[in-house]
Order: sequence, then C-alpha cells, then structure tokens
Amino acid sequence: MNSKAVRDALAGYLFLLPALIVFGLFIAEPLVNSIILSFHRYDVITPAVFVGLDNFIKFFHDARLLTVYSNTIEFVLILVPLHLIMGLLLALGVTKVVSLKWKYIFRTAFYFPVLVTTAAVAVAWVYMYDFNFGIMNYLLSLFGAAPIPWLNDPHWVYVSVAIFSFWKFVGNPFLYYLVGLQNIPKSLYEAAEIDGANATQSFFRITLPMLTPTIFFVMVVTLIGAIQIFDEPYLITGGGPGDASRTISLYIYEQAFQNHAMGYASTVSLSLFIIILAITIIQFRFSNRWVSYDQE
Amino acid sequence: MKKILTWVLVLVFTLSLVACSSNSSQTASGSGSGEKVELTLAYPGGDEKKDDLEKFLKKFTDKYPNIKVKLIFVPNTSWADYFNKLQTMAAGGNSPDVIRVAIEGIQMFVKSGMALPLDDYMKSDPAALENYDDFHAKLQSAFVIDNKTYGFAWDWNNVVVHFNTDMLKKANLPVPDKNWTKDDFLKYAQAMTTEENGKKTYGFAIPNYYFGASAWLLNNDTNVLNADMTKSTLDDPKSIEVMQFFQDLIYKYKVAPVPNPKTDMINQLMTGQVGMIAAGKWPFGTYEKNNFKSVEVQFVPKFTTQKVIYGDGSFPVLKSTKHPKEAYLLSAFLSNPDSQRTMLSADSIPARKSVMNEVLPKSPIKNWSVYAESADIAVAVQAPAEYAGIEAIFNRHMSDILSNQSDAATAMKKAAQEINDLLAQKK
Repeated sequence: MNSKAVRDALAGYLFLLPALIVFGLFIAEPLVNSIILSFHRYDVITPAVFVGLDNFIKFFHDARLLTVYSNTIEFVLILVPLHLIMGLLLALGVTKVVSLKWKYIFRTAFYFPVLVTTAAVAVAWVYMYDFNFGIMNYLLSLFGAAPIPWLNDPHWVYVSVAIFSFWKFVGNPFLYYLVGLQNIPKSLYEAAEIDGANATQSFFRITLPMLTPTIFFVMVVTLIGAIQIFDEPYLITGGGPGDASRTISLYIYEQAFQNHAMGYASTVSLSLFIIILAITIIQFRFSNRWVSYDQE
Repeated sequence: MKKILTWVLVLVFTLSLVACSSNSSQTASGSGSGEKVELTLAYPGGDEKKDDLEKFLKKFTDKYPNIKVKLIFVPNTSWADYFNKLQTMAAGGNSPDVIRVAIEGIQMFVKSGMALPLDDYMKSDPAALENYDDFHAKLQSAFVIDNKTYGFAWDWNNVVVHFNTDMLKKANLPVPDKNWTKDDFLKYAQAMTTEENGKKTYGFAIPNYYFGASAWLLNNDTNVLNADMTKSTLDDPKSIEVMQFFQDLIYKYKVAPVPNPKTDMINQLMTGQVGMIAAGKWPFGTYEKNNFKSVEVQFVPKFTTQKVIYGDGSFPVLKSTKHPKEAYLLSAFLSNPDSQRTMLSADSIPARKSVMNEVLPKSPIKNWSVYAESADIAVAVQAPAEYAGIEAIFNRHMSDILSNQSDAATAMKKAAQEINDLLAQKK
C-alpha cells in the first residue's frame, strides 16, 4: 500500500471516529450492559445481585406485558399508516400548489408543529381534550354532538393520541416526501405526457415507483418510532385510563424508574430490542421486492 | 477545505474526550472546620424558590464563612419522581450532600442506607439546632426512625376542603361547620353544580392523587395500607365505599368533572369551574399570585369519623457526603425559626410550634385554625420504602374508577393484590 492509500484510509477512519465513539458510548455499551443487567436484580442503590433467569421467568408470567404489548401494536397499526399516507397526501398537495406564497405558507404550517417542544404543546392539548371544560367537546356541543371522553375511554384515547401525533409529527414524513418528490426528474412526466398518459397513470407509473426509497425510509423510521412510542401517551394520557394506553416504553420506564427494578426493565427492553431488530431485518429483506433505486 | 474539516474533526474528537473525563477531577478533602467546604443542596422543582433560598443561604454563609452551598433544583412530576432522580444522581456518583425530602421518601432513603443518622452530631454540637423541643413532636417523629434522627421537620401540609366563596354565596350556602358530613357535602356539591348559558360549573374536583385520596379514606376509618404497612386495605369495604362515592360523584350525581392525571384543580377552583377542591395549604401561593381571595377552608367531611392527614418535609444528609459535620450544620440551619418564617408562610405550614402559631393567624382566610388544629390530631400519610411503586399502582386503578372503566370494588381489589405482591416481593 502506498502512503497515499494509507493516508486516505486513515482519514476515512478518523472521519468515522466521532460517530463510532458516540455509537459505542451511547448505544453499544448500554446495550451490552442491559443484557448483563437482565440477569440481575438491581435497584440503583444497592449493588446488583445475580438472579439467573428470574427476570425471564417473571417476563413470561407478567399479565400486564400482554396488555402493554397489544396497546403498542394498536398504536403501530394506527400511527404508521396515518403518517405514511397523510404525509404523502400533504406533500403531493403542496407540490400541486402553484402560488409560491401559498406553497410557502402550507409548508411552514405543516412542518411548524415539529419544531415546538412536545411537552409544552401536550399540556395545551390535554386542556383541549378535557371532558368537561375542553374546547373539543365545546365545539362538538355547538353541533349538538355528545361530548367525547377523549382521555377517559380506553378506545377514544387512541384517537386522541393519533390526532395529537398527526398534528405534531406529520411534518417529518411530509418533509421527506417533499424532497423525494422534487428529486423525480421532470423529464419523466414530460415523456409520459407526450405518450398520452393521464394524471392517474403518471402517479402510479412514475411518482409512486420513483418515491419507493422515500416511502421505505419513512416506513422504517415511523415504524420504529411507533413501536417505541413514549412521549404522546406519557404526556397526554399518562398511560391511562388504567393501562388502556400504556405502551411497552412506558412500562419499561415504570419498572425501571418507579419500581427500581432495573434488571426486569432490562429484560423487557431486551424483548423490545429483539422485536424491533426482527422487524427491521424483515423490512430490509423484503424491500428489494418493491423499492426501486433507479433514477433513470 | 479538507484542512478545515480535519481541524473540525480534531476539535470534535478532543471535546468528546474532555467531556468524558470532566467528572474525574473531584478531589476529596477533610471535614475539619475552618477548611473551605462546598456542599450541594438538592431541592425539588424548577427555580420557584430560588430567590428565597438564596437569600436565606446567604445568612448561612455569613454565619459559617468556610461553607459554600451550591443549590440544585430537580424538576419533577411528583415526590416519587423527585426521589427517583435523586437516587439516579447518587448512583451516578453525583450525590448531593443535603436533600429536601418529604415523609413520602424518608423511609426509602433510610431503609436503602442512603440517609445519615444525625444523633452524634446533635450531641456534639447541640447549639447548631435551635430549640429542638419547638418542633411539633408528631411532625418530627416522621424523621426519627428506629430511634435515630434523620432530619428536622421543616414544613408540613394536610388535606382540607377549599371553597370558592363566590360560588357558595351564589348557592346561598355558608361555609359549613367542621362537623359536616358526607351527606352535607353532597348537598353542597349539588348546589354548586349549575348550568347557565352553556357554562357549566361543578361542585367538587375529585382528588385523584395519593395524598388527597388518602385523606378521604381516613374519614371512613380506613387507609391504603394496614397500620404496620405490611398489607393493603384498599379491598376493605370501607375503602371501596369511599372510592365508589368518588365515582358516583361524577357519573351518578354528576356533580364532579371527570379528572385526568394532568387536571389543574387549583385553577379550576380559581376560575369557578368547580366550587370545592381537596388540598392542603399549598394552593395559597398560587392564590396569592393570581390575587384570588374568594376562598375559605374546612375539614374533610365526616364519613364515619373525622381525621386529618399530614405529610411533612425535612433536610436529611446523605451518607455519601464527604463533609457530614458541615452538612449537619446546614440541615439544622435550614430548619431554624427564621427559615420557616421566611420561606413557608405562603404555601406551606411551618413545623415549629412557635412559628406555626405566629404565621397561621396571618393567613388570608377566617378558618386558619383548621390548619392549626390539624397538627395535633393528624395521621401521617402512609409511605413505606416501596412508596413509589404503591403510588403508581394506586393511581393506575384510581384512574380506571374515575374514568368509569371499572367499579370501585373490582379496581380496588386488583390494586390491593398488586400492592401486596409488591410488598411481599421486596422482603
């Protein structure tokens, strides 16, 4: 190897180093630690005690786990399609807007909530959702509709969280789609138009296939985000009523930081880690069947 | 361009190394007096109390010029959350020296071996502690565990009923007398539930939190746990009766709004959305800030008996401190009469008898004696070492009851079972 090649390789590793350090300190090391901890009983204060498989036995007998996992799946089934489809529709709508001014206004309006502190706006949303004094039920009453128990019904809490999540976070997929749409060469549409394709045809034959890498990316990101969902139920419903909207992340938090059962919390986290890993691998495996990276 | 990038990279790399090692430069020093010592004092909350505390700590440094006090505020959502954060700080090696702790946490800090017994220091330097007998004996007893003293009662609170007196007037009702009963209470709640031009008002905001709900359980001669705190009594018919009454207030009598975990009841009372709330002395700081004067208080109504709950706080020293003697001096100084007088007059009750008697008559309400009389008869909130877990279980099942997802008997039986499991598993 000549000295230039060595220098280049060295530079390459040097560039990777900060990311590797961050990854090692904040991801790899905690991961290894939590695997070790899942075989211990640890309350943060007194030293950890090795308990063998106790935490895993408890894991398979924990009735609440079934509830929190199925709650999490319910959130995934609602939130992933919501963001995936609504983000795309909003992005398509905005690209169709001709006036530059309006384009600017819409883009800002859709993305702005992403920039606001989640905890701060969640407080306002809780007030809006209040059964007796909230503005949502007030507006409904103007139309003569019965008040909705936004935060006090095991089914409505999902709607409440979905509305909040849509308002707060749809800006992210919207932005990805917007960029994705702009990367589709205009010449493709021109060629299609000359060949006599109508709008529906060019959407399904050009836009959608060319957008598959973006759709894939948004899907992976929103799916992982939805499985780990914490902020929205924590801030809006507190996991309630009862356990109705308690997700797996909230449950891990409760075990670790309310019950001081760090070992058991690690065991539960490990199960979540394996599930996310499996889903992501499956997504990547099947992605080559429908994701097209052709840019011509 | 490439050069700049290289430099940026080097800079980032160096910074990350520095960041990793910043904690290792702490040096230990002896605790001999005269030497410069820095203590850390942890206090819950944002920095609402910052000015008061800093002003007061200045007096401490004037008296002991060699001791510097660093104040850290720990934002939190509840006592349990605050104690968790302190534990995490301790586990991370950033233990404060002196902490503010309420009765809800003292058992946990003592049982886990984190709190330092102060008796030896009290013996060797009794002068630091102004008049120990002035602490209300019952309030002080919360911090004496197995005959060892872990702190000096600073502030305390109870739970009473607060009335919006404008709404009382509108309903043509006087502030009830102290012997009022559950039935009287229901009549009051019904009278203050109105609807006028689409604007609804309700009689009462249900106390959907551990301390507040416990106060009502006490008046039906029951509690969350049995007397020695080894088993839950939430499945006792008397406990279920109180919880069912709460549910009925919302869904049967329709005199209470549906609460959620974030409901701000103080705000509901001030804006006239509800006529009554259950709280201690703590809303008075908020009342004062909002210039809200239409308020009066009375004991929680009688079910089968009439008791009153209390919770109090002190400033224990953590065992991990490198300067136990100085930390004791700070803990003692923080509970002196001047401290209680200057920092506790608005939103809490001082735990020294002398200061209590001096401050309470100045309260902006006629019934201030409700607070003064409480101290002698009050029963401590139940907070064993497993408090955080118990509170979480209680809140979860209570939210099921108040959201009408479950009747009180079913939910409270489940809660009792879970609490019993938790208590058994930690043994």
